[in-house]
Amino acid sequence: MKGTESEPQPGRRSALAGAATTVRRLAILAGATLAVCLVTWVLVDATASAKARRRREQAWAKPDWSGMTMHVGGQLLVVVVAAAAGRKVLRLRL
Amino acid sequence: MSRARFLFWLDVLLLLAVALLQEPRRTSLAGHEWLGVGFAVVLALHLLVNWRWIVMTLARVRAGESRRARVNASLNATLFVLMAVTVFSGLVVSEIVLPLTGLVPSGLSAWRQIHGFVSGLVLVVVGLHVALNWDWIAGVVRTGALWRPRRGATVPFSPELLSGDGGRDA
Repeated sequence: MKGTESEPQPGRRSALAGAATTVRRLAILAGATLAVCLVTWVLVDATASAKARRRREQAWAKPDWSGMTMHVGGQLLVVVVAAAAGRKVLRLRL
Repeated sequence: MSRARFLFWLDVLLLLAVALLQEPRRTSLAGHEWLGVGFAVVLALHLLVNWRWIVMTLARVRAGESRRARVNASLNATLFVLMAVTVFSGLVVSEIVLPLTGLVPSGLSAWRQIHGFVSGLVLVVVGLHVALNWDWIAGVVRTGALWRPRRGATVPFSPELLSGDGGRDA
């Protein structure tokens, strides 16, 4: 019986290891994202000075669902065209 | 098969969100910002569940195995950077979500220009990402198991999806 109370069960141990792996991967992901954000921030801070003229809050205050399907379809069409070009012209494959 | 089904619908969700996020006038600014926050979370999930594939691709690049692996890794890295810049620049100029944290949105017009330009570019690179994964997408659709859950099939989502070693091929 020695150690049975302090040592986790195999299933629980596996779940803990899985959680630790997920946390580690999330930390790597957060680190990479943070690095990209930091570089962007430094570049913008060093080069930009012009102020925005107006806020968008008033202009886009309410949703306008008219023609939504068409507009979203148009965006998806851009993706489809880029995918077809990537497939046929650039010959992208896994 | 349940894993492939989960990955497929997660990708469809991301694709629809990318298209919707291009239309802030339609969704309203508040809808756009909250959708963007949700998108970032689902994007992180997408990367976590495909972690093994990412690690394997990077290992192939490091080993100098093939030119194709380098192209694929470069394209996916570009997409990651563009997505991160888009979400970050969106947060910096956010007028609904950011003030909730007590921070003030930036008044620099450059952030809005970056957000608009890079989000447009994202759409094209997402298309190339779809092209890259086309064989996998076609394979999952061809099996016909996307809409018909098999009897006794495992639960599509489980914590093991995030930490396990299953890749896109699983």
